[in-house]
Amino acid sequence: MKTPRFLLGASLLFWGWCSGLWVVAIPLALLVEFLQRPRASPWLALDDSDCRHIVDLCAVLTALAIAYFLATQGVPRGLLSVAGWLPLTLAPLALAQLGGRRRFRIRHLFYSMRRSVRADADQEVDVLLPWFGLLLLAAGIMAPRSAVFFALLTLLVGYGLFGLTRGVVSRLAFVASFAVASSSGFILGEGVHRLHGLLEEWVVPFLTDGIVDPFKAQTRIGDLGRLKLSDRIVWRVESDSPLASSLHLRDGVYVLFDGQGWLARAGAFQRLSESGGRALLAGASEPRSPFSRLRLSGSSSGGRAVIPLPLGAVALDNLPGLASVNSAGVVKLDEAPGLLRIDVVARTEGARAETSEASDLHLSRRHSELFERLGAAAPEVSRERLAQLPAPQRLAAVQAFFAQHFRYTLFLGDETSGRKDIERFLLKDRSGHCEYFATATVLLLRHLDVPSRYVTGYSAHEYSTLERAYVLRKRHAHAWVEAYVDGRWTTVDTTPSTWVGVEEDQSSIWQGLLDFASWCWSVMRVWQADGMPIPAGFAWGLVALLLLCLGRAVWRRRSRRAVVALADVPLCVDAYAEFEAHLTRLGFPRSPGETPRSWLERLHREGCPALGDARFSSAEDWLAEGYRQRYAGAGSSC
Amino acid sequence: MKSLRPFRFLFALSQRTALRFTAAGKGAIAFTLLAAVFGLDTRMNYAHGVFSLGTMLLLADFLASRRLNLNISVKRVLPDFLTAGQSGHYTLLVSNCGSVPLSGLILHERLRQPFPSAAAFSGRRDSVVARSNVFDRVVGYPDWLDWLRRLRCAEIDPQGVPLLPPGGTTEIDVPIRAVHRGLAVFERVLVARWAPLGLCQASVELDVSRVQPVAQTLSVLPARYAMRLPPAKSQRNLQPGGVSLAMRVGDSEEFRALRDYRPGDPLRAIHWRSWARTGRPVVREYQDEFFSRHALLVDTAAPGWFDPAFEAGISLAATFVLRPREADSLLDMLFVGDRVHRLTSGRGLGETASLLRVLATVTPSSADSFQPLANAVLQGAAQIGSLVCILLAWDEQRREFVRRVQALGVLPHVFVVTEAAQSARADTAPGVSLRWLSPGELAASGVAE
Repeated sequence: MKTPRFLLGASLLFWGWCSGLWVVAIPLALLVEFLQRPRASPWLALDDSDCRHIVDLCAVLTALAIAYFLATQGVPRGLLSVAGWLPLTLAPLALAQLGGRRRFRIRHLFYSMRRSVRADADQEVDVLLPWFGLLLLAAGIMAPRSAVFFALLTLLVGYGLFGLTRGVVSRLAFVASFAVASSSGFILGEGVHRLHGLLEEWVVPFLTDGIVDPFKAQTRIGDLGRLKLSDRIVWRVESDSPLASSLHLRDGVYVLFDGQGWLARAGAFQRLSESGGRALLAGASEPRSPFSRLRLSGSSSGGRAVIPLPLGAVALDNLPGLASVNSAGVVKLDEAPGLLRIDVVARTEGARAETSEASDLHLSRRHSELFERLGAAAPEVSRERLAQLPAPQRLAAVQAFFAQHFRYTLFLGDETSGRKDIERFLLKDRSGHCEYFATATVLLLRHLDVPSRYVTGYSAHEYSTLERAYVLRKRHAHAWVEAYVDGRWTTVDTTPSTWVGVEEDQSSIWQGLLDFASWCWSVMRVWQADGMPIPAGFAWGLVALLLLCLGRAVWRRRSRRAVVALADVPLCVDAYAEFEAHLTRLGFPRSPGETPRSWLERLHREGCPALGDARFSSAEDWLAEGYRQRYAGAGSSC
Repeated sequence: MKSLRPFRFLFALSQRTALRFTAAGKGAIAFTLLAAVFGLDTRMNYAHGVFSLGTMLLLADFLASRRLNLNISVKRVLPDFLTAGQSGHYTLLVSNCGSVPLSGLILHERLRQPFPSAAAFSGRRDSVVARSNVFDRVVGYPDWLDWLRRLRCAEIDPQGVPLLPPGGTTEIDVPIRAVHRGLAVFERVLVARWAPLGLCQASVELDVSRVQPVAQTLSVLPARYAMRLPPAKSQRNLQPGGVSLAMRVGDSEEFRALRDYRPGDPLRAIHWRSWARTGRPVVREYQDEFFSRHALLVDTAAPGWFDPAFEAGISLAATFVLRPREADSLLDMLFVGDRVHRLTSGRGLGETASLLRVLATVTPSSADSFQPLANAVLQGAAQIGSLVCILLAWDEQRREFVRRVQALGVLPHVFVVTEAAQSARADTAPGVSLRWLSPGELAASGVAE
């Protein structure tokens, strides 16, 4: 099968258009078409060793690309980038086949077959057609969605298939089949894209793990065993001033408790408006002093993330992707890049001027009865005693109640001790983790007519001197309460502060090492995201390496050819004259006025590849013979 | 011993795929699958566009490649034989028996494909596996494919057929590569035609009534080394019974004279008519035959099929078969197959080519097969003028055989072909012409045309 003329050049330009690598694609396309011109003589004389070296070069270039892209972009995106660059890293194969007019053998292409005794190891392989396929695939990987892309892709494939089937099948049948196939291909592509969108909308929320669901919080209330979360750092918080106490960063606010988990208030997220690169959260105005600035660094999962924000957050800078916010001030991102770095401006007093709703006082009958019984058992939080007090005092009484009578534990209960639930937590065990405290506090405050809601997020309290930032680990995930007191929402955390120490005790002995690796990884990602000129430099580096290797190969081939040509010079009486003519043809002419001997000495001194030591010695002999013949006459002896 | 059923399934699948899809079609499948993997997230790139276009092109071409209805016949003209490792040609005469012109046809010749048993394949892997790469060692499938190739003996690429007018016949010169010695059996002929997009092809197997001859066999002779061997010389020994004994039992029929009976003469030599005429017993006297008889012993006790030393030994034997020798000499070739075989050529008894044809089909025998072979040589040692032994080992059994042959007055030339020839070269036997050879050394001597 012969590749149709201009197909490879056009495909290279197409790839360059999709990837933006015009600087590489245009010269390569010109070179390919130059080498592919009709009646072109072989440009390179390649032997087996050269073929192996070219494959080695491609392997090194590909390995470099893999290492670079995986290190800077992570696994999924890095692999895509590698695939997008493969046409460039494998270009030497195609150029060598075109330039040398020689096909590679299987034994050249596979290291495992290099010394194979099997006969099929010597089977020849045409690398041009696979390279053409790779160009189209890489173009698809690097291209954004557009109808123009599909049209150009169809044109190229059609031209390739047309050339392939010329003279073999009917033209009419080809055109009809191709028209049907390409148009249905376009429809299929659009259908696949829409199906993907539908699938993501329906299925992914059920399958995703580790992404905060702003609509629902599943708690471990009622579970058995021991609560254990990982040490993995998920967010980093840089603050312009040291934190006086732990900072609560909320990523979910919920109002309805169903006995096992919490549900958020019904209502869609609204697109967050931005002006001048700054997004203002609903209900907040441009902040005035006092306020603090935080920088949050983390990563999105599948392009989505929920940003943990302090209660008093009023403005966000550098928000990537599509940001939206709900009525409780929870911000989520869609189509975000992998690395997130968001600047947050927050009021230092940490409150939200937002009205409460009826659902903030919702309490089921079962829970009302439970708290009636609790009031009988613990009069300090009975409704009768606290009903007449102002809301701040009721809140203080509840905080004091949990501080005096409850303790923190990660033990969730087992088969012998029985399952824990809120009733057991309040009336019997009086121990549990933060979800029990937060849930019980919300329900108790509502029983005492204080609007409240359940909040999840992270507690920022661990400062890393290495990273100069507060680190939020998965085990720093926390639940607390927001209560509506004196017309403002304020943070209420009834979980005993000993929880931090208990969680610390659960940390892995490898934590330091893992933290360091995590920091290195984050630094690398920041470098990549900051637009360091590595990709362009990398491209140029690859091209330079490619040209260097090609240049070296050409020089070696040409020199070898020159030496071979010299070896063919017959040793006759006019050997020197023929030798000089050969060197002149090879591009090493004698300058006007230069004597033959000084010319030879100059070439030898300059390291002319066609004049090695042995050849120089022979040339001197031939020159001496020529002198003898010229000046001593034909009868002289030598 | 692992089952080879998955290998057979894969092989059958690859055969069907090769017939259903063109090279471009297979490439399109590969890149469409890759595009499906890289385009999973349709928002990140447009690889799913490549996937959808590739899928629909393949689907459209697949649907368009309906079954073929052809009215053609094929006649095959094969050469007498081929030599392993070399290429040759044969002729196909393709006739259009229909009423419409035919174009774009591709002929696929299918050779009979013997399949190895699991036991034989495992044995072969033990002996050859050390030279394979890691993938071959672990998976074994490429090794198995290589074995199938050798068992088919020859390879033929699909051949395009020029435009055939109604009633027209075209002659196609088909290149054929002889891969390994043996018998290549031409079993089936399939005809294919590309679908409109050149990605798939429709195919049909020609009915046996349309192929002449139906199942044809081509001998692939063992390769012969381009070694310079001196002409075989040996003393002329008495051959009781003359030439005819070379193939069957009986006295020579070269009548010389009548003479008086001597005690001990066989009764059947009595010439009854002369006895009646003269009144005393007279017997017929026959000519005693003295001529050279060379023996070639081929050791077949190899560890497994396609053992390099065994194959090199067979090629060396083929080289000796073609060695120049006296015009009136005989050559006996002895080897073990299911039993000990003794084949003779020379003096009109058999052609040298027939010995090579037999050598092409020799298979390895068990390790204890050497003793019957040695006994057969020792029984006929009195008639042997020279003996060439191609052995695969130099153990005590073989040393003893050589000693006994020497004791009977025959000087054997012993060639031990083994991969460990380099290290074993110091192991010599006094008074024995012993030469160690490795398959590599033999191959380096070149293959005779």
